[in-house]
Amino acid sequence: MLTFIVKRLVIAVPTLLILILFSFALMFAAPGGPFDSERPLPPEVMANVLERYGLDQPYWKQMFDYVKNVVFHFDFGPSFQYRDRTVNDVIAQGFPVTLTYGAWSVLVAVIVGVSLGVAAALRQNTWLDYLAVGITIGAQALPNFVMAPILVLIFTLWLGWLPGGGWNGGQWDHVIMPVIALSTSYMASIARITRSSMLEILNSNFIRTARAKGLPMRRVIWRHAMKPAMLPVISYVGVAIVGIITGSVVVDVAFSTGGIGQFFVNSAFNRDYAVIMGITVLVGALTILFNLIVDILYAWIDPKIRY
Amino acid sequence: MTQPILSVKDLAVTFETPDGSVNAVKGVSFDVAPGECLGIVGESGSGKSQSALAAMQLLAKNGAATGAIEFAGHDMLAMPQKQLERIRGAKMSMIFQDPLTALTPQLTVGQQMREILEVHEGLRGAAADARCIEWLEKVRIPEAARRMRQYPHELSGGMRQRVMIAMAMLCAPELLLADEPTTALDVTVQAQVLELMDDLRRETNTGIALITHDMGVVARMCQRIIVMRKGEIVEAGEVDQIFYNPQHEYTKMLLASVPRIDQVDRGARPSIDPVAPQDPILKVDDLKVQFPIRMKGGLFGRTKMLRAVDGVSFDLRPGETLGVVGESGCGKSTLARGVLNLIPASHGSVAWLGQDISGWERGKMRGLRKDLQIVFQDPLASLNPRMTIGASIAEPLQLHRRDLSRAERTDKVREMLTNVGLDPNMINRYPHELSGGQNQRVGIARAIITEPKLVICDEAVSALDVSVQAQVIDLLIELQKKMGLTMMFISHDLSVVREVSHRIMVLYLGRVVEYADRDQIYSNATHPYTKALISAVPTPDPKIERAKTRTLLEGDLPSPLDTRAALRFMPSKLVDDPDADQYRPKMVEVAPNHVVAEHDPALGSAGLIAS
Amino acid sequence: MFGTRHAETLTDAPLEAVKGRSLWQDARGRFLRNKAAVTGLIVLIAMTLFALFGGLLAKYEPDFVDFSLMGANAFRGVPSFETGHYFGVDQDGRDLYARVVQGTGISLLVGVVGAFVAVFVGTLYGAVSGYIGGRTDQIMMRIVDILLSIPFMFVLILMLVIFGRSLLMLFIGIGLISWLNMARIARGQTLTIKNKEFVEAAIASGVPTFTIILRHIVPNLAGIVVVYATLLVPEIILFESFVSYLGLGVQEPNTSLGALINLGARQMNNGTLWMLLFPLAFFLTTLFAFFFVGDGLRDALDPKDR
Repeated sequence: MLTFIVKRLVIAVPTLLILILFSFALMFAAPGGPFDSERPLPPEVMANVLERYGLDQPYWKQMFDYVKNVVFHFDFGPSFQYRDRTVNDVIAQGFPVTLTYGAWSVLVAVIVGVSLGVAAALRQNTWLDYLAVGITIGAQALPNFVMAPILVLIFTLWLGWLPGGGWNGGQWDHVIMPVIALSTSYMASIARITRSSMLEILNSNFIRTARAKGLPMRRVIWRHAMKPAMLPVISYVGVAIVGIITGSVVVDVAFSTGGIGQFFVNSAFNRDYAVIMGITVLVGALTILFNLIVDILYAWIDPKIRY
Repeated sequence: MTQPILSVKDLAVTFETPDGSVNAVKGVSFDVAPGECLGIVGESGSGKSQSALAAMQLLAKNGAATGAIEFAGHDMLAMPQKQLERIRGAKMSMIFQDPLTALTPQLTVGQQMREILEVHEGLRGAAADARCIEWLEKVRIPEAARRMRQYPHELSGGMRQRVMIAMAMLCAPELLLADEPTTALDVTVQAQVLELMDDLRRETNTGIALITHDMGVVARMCQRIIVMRKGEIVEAGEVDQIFYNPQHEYTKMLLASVPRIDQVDRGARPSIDPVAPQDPILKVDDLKVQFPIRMKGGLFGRTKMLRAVDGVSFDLRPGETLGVVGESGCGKSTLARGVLNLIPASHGSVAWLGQDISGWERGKMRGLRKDLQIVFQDPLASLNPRMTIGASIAEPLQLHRRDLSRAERTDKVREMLTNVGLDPNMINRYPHELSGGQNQRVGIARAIITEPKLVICDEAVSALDVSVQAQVIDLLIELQKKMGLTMMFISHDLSVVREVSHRIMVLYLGRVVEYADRDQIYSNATHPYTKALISAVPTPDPKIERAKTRTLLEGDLPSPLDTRAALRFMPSKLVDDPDADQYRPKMVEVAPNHVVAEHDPALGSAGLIAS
Repeated sequence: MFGTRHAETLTDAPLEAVKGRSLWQDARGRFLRNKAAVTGLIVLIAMTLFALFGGLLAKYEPDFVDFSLMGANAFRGVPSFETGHYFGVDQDGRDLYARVVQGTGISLLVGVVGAFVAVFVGTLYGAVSGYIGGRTDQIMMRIVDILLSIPFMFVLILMLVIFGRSLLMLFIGIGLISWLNMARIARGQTLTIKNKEFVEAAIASGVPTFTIILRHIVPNLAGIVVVYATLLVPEIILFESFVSYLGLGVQEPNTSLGALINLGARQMNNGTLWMLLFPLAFFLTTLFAFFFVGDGLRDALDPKDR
């Protein structure tokens, strides 16, 4: 098991490096620098600015310094747009917000999705099954950027129950809509995968063996069917987490929650490469981390994968 | 007869499918008495498994059973779920066919065994462990305590099936339903498992209902038999009565189809002609095929060579059939592919018509493919599902007979379909519309349409029901007579091999252990492995089976990656290191045309050392 | 378990009873019996026609600004047949009907072209990787693994910011990402087919490698490729809409359904709900139609219970 984790880490490190180098290369391929604007700065001011951001150095040196600072000091450098703040400050402000509603979204998607899927599989071809299948098909076509305006329309404009935006320190009424918007389509997919995987397992030979042993149905399901049925779900949860991180951009835009997504989009409009890169690398690291966790979880459940 | 433990009356099983209702079982009645083994015999689709599942109330969701099933006086069909659960696994248990998929992969053997005791007897902890280990030892699983902590995929097929039996016997059931319990196993392991079940029946007075398609197994195990066909019982009676005085046509046909290891007389059916002494057309010398296998462990793992074929030599004369027998993993299929250059050989030579073809690349081999053909095991998988059978048969012609026009090709294909006993109008059918036997005829047609000199049959009849198997064997023998084919007939089934082969080669872990004329092998086996193999095959004749003294091989086939395994029959020369270079037993000619590998005395063999 | 048994009992029946049908014919039959899938297909055809010819019915060009409505959108720009603005106008006084026609077209175009690129690149990559096997296969698949663990939406936005927003850039970005899963699927399928005995039989008959790939591998790959391509189109439409929703995708005066939803959502507070609801309705209908067709094709071409 330990060698397995080490192996995955060995792959993860170059992946992250490739991501950093790729983003950096992209930035240099860009026509025009971050401080080129309609009204050019005076040459001496420009020189000052370039020096401050290290942009007067040769490319390879800039890249080397950047990688060095990120890897060893976890320092993404100063922001180009927010003149007196570093990228780290920006991330420190936005990340807790993103983490809060992101974590809730993952929990809701997994718990609701799995329960719905299992219930549908156990009551195959009953009204409950049809209802669950109907919900999952419908929710599949409701991605976050569709859900967000619909939720605001219903709960803010029509019913007036929930505030249409803002974060307010993470009060529950500000968290609900972002979480629903983010989790709905993934909840639907998880439910669908759980249902079909559970149905397949319930028809397998070893379930028949377990029943032939005289185990009560509840025990058959919890002990023998649940683990194998969860395997494809776990694989998908990795995908869902990445999707939820990505979707946080939409939520931040739609609900003005002030997570990293909001900074990301603002920076995108203002060509603040430092912030964009910082967030991209952070998200890349998170993606790799969650994929690693998912792989380990998978190996933990499936004894055949253990290396 | 004593009071039956299981009594089935007028059982009918119906499945609701999208294509309408299917009557899998149509009014079947039978009894099983305590301490008795009842054989339920039939070919696939006869409803024999569904009858057993109905008795356990384990039918698939879309299935429904009517009639009466009484177990120890209780009506199983009307029993509430709770009571059913108390009976299943405790008083009535079941063993399934496929040991690979019948155990939960995510739970250890111990977890799966202990829970039975917990549910039925409230037994937990050390007491439960002790009982499980006791039973694992009874079914002769070595290192039982360690096996308890292992997962099913870490055990071999034979071991898993024995775990299944131990699990079924844990609570000392009154009735054991065994659904093809040995079909997925090698013959030597089958012999061990059957022996075990027979002992258990005697010791515990458990009633057994044994479901099988194998008449040999029935003769070995059962006191009474019912023969089923298409959901109905066609004949029922005492074992001797059925075997020696069958009444129903189907039973007679079934018994006539079964190949017998103890005799070559095929009655009215075609049998092979003797071969004229001629120069061999194929000479294989010291052929080795190795695969690199990545081992787990360490950051990058390490590679070991799997010696699938490890120095095999033989020759084939025109019109001759060489039977190659061995258990799974003995390298017989790899040998076939090595001979045809489908897998590169790592050592040795293959001489075809005097020319060494080993190591030829694909392009160079292409010209020879017209003469060298192969028929595969799985009839459906060996045909492209997107091509009509006509197109599949015509493909080799397209390549090797470019002189033929499209119309001529079609004519030849139609003619060939008639030759292999198929309706020429089926030329535009797709493989999934044909039965297994028909598809195998198509595979044979494709192999012989270019009029090849050598045809290799790789387990060509193993996937077929006995009656179909017999027809396909007849076809192969007739084709050989008509076209003068030379054949390599590869099979795990010694009885089938005996019917079609002139000479027989026995493989064990990639090496030849014995190589002789057909009758010589069966009447005068010298190597202990050959002896065990032949003794393990149950004969479809109850009297012979009862009189037989059994030569049982202990344990399972060892891993071919362990070099010690090859010296299993010569432990006197063994170096106890799994990676060491081991002594290589020499081949000794004990009689003209009868070669045997060196071995120590064992299993009724006197031992043989080259002088 | 019972499926195979059933199949065997059927084959015992006299053969004359079975009518000769190809797998494709079988699949077509199964697809046509699936009502949701057929409805989806009809909707898709209608949607395509709408995108191609819907503009002919519009009274206004999509970039024509109706200054007469300026500042009074909320009550004078409402959907109405009298003014010729069937779907009303957008916040800038442009005809929403014409814009929706245009947006539907762009969204479908992006989806279909993106899926085509993905299928072409992915299938080729996967088939080559799978058929060659060995170390080449391992390296090729490791590259896919690495690319898959990069947060592509972020990289794509970075690219759009750096190289400017254009349809071309969007195609390149989407094309770069979407072939990855296709490659994995194609590889897996190639591996299974490669090890089937009928391929070995073809090799044993001396069929040249290229003919084997064309005659024996590709036709058996086709089913799964078609299915995933159909499911990929809505995924790419979603993807594009996501970027456009953030205002980073398609540039004015061009538009897509995602961009229209974004603009509509921003005007929600002004009582001009039609600006959100019309593009949303078209978007959801298209997605549903693709999902149903894709599911229908999967059930028809890849039935597990056969």
